[in-house]
Amino acid sequence: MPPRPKKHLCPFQLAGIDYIDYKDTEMLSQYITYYRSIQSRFHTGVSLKMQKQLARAVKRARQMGLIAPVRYN
Amino acid sequence: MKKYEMMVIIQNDRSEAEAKGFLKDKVIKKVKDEGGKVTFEDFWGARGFAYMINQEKWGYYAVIQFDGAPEIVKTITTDFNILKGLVRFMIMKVDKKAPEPVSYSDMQKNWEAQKREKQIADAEAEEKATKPAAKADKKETPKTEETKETRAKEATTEKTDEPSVDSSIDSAIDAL
Repeated sequence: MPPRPKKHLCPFQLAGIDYIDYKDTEMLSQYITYYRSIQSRFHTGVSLKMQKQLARAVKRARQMGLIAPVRYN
Repeated sequence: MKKYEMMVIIQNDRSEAEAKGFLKDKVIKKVKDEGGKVTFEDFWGARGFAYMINQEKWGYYAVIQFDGAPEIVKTITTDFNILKGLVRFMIMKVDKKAPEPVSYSDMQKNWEAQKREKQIADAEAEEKATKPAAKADKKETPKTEETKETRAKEATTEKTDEPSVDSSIDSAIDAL
């Protein structure tokens, strides 16, 4: 029997973070791709609860010009 | 009464002092006139946009938190939509889980501290990765000799048996 794969743990849960602020661009930039799209839960292991908060925070930051919505080159 | 947060971008055709005056005389005054209670205000200063907004590359940012009735949000938005000198603004509810507001300068300090911590952690991880590899090389060389000796002894005493050799390798792996 091959060993069971390790369970994905939410990075926010591990760090004890309960709320995602849209002004914290340094943190948000870890969860967006090279072309500035929101990275999927499959790749980051973020829980569904925090992914919804994260998406809202990224969209707010985009609206206020803190994060670019897309990168062309 | 509900808690609200407003982020404001002021046009860059004025100096920083004038932008601060605009924030006080136009934005905060409007909120106070409507019956809101301003609990937190933070002027970020000049900051570049991530993309062009109204053919401009930068503006003055400011963040305000205020308590007020839900109805005043509508009146403020209708007023600010006409107000000249405001590039963009956004009003949102403050989450119950949200911690106390932090100023932009403190946020930048936190980011720098986090970067330093990361650098230190990465350096430690690199050291750990290199050291055990060196130790393993030192350990491996004598053990291979031992296994060769055991094999030689076995060869001298009796004919070589495959299972015995395997067990010696397994023990060496366990020791590692």
